[in-house]
Amino acid sequence: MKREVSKIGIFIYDCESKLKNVLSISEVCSKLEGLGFVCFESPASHFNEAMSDFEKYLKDNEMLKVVIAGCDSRSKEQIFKNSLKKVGLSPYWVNFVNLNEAIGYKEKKKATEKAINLVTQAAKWIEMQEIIGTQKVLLNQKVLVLGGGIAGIETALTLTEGGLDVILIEETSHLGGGAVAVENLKGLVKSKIEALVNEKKVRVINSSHLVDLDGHVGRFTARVEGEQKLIFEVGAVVVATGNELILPIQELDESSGSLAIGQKDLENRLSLSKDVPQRVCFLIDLVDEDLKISTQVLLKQALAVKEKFGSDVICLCRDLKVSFDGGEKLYEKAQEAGVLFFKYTKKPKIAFSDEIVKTSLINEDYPHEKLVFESDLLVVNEKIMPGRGSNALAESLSVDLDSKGFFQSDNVKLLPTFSSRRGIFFVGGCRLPQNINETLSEARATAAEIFSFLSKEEIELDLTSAKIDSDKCILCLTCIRTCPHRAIVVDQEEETAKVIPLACQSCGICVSECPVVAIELPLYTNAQIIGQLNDVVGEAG
Amino acid sequence: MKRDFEPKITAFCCEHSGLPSADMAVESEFVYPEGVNIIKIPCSGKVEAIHIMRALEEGDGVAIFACHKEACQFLRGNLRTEAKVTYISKILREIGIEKERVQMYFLAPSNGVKFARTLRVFYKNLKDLGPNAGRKEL
Amino acid sequence: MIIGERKPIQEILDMIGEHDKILIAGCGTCVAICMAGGDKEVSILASAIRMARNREGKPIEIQEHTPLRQCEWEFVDELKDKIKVSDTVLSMACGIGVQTLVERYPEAVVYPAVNTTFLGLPEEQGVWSERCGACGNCVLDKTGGICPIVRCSKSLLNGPCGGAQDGKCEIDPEVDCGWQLIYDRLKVLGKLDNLTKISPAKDWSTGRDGGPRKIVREDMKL
Repeated sequence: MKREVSKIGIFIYDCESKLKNVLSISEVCSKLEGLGFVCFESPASHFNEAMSDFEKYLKDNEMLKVVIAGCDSRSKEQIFKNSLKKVGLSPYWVNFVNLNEAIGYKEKKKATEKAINLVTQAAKWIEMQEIIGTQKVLLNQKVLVLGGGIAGIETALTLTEGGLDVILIEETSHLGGGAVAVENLKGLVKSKIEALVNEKKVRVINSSHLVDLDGHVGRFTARVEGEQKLIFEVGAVVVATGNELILPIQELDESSGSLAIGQKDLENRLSLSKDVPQRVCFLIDLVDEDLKISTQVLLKQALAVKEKFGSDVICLCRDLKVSFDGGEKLYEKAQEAGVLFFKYTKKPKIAFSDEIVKTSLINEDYPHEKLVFESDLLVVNEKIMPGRGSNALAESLSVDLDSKGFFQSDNVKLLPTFSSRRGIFFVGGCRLPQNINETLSEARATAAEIFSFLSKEEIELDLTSAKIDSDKCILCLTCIRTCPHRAIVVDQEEETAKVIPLACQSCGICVSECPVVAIELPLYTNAQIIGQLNDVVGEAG
Repeated sequence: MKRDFEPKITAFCCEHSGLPSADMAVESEFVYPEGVNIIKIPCSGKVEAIHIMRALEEGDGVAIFACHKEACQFLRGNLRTEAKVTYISKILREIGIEKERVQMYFLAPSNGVKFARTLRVFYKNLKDLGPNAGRKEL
Repeated sequence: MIIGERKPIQEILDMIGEHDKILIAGCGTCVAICMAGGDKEVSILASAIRMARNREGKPIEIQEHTPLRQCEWEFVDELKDKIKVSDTVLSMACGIGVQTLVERYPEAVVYPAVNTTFLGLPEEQGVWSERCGACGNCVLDKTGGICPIVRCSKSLLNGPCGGAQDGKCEIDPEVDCGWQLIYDRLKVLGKLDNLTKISPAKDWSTGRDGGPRKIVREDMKL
């Protein structure tokens, strides 16, 4: 296909006749025709009618590029793009204008002028749009899972369901991870391990760790060391290395005996139906104040102790974080059952005597009332620490850790299990302390995500990624250092920086950082952006 | 100084926050001032110092709408742009142009209200400042 | 590489004076990498100057061009046509580039828009620091690979002055004492006895003291 300016069509449709009242569509059209574009005003007043009009328009006119102007076009982009694909047009040779922008204008004349400007700008933008090429990329369909805990096992099992081969590396000599030490999870872990060991598509390698990862999504090369040195070619990497629990305060070292225990120990006692004493005091939030999991466990355990053993239960906390599923209800239920909650602001004092723990606290809101609680058992929440090898692992994976040392999600809200590098995922406690159900669903969701792009051996990739002009590149390494996704590498043979299209997420940060203007983002070129600026003058003049 | 002048504003809108907010603003009829030229960008990190400077040469103010600080789709694009804006304001001070003409705003993807309100305030401030003395003669 | 920094814009505006047709010539190598005088800085400076002049009501016409290297005759030849129609040339290259232009275009008025600051490296993205003083007589072999000429504020060659405190230089607590660095490094190398040898007074004739320097390689000449 060759680039022909005259083949740019403008398609304008009104939405529920909203536009007609504020601006003159025919004036917009005639103005644009004057500029050499082909303009079509759809009589449709509804999006659906406009769509069928649009498809007819595409069939009747031999357009190469289209500007679609309506009042909701950006949100409906995909639908229009599908229509374009149907008739064999490039989905990248279309631009959308939201004419709602003009609606706010008070005068009809000004609103029409604004609409003309908007459509002209969009047409100019698309006029400069070059063809987006494609590239065939071979994908390695194996997945490397790091960590043989419940998160890693579940991810591996789900991946095999999708037909992918998995290599699972476990640092210790046995599978199961932290969950093995939790009584009521033992059964679950055992059955999962059994399923994993019997799965032919999974190769489990114990007592080993990753030392180095090269390459990029679809084609990673991993060096693993342990009893033997191994090299694997994989398409994706899942980090499921979990976390570690430690008791948070010095008073609670092992010498405090059985008077003070962690939430995990209590969990085990409860599931083994071991006796729990008459007076139990829970003390949480000594560490990790912002984690809701300690509140979650607290409410569940307090209620269980109260209901099973009829103990006096007192809970001391800084804040109750009940934002988890059913949290508010559980809190209410615990209160109704007679569990008492006290808020503290300053760290309580803890004193152990023979068989009794004395916990005393002052709430700053009531500074004159010192509260002293005697109990036979003190339960505290453990400090949840990142796995021991996290730092080294993050370094060999070239990914970031958060301020606490856990693996940093790419986008906490949108893409929690994605790392900043495409093809590397964080699942389970290595990313965020969480409960077993969250871990399991995270593992399955991540496996599905991996399957969605590794299901084919070869894919055709639209080259919307950043492009480096090797003639201009002086290999100053700025782009390589500033790319948030490690998608740029040095091409030793060509002596230039090179973008890996699969790994690039087309953010354009490298473009704005490159000191010698050697990089362009094909869908947002500098010329396109600067072209829009100049229009401001046109508008004023 | 012209009292009745209409400030020309260029608004660089990140496709992950500013642009959806702009769409929402117009759809919900949260009115923002006329004379705002919206330019879509994939990430605020794509905005270059020269884009901001050129936009100022052509207008009276530049607003950059980026994602909230810890919610950049691309990790730190918005932070890099914030640093660029600081760099630009130093240049503007050197040439005697009010640095208030370049503003960076952080917002959520669905905040049409904030988008419109922010632009209204920016518009008013620009109106108080008067026309950009460094702007190209028309 | 050569590290530079753009001059304050007011100083540049003063150089331009009343001229209203100028060329800004960048350099695409060292100063481009340290973000002082590459393509992008040329455009930014051009834009800033235009705005400053608009503000004064004296619009100015600016051309921009950035050759790959401003320190080569062949590359600066690209500027010929543009220089012809400009009444002032602002060079955003290092001092070498400025003088290359002056020598190649004796009729042109060329001003520097960049201060050439030092020879150094990018320590990290956005941070550059000095490593070499171009003294013409390298002593790095004796000092564990750390240059006393530039890393020591006083360029001392026989150990530190008495002003260092906690490993920091007396001129600025942010600056490492060069000799502390040398000591630490030699210790790691197990060569602390290097420090007991006295360096005789350095022959500075290979440096700036010997006048303008020049190297001629007969075997390379055409």
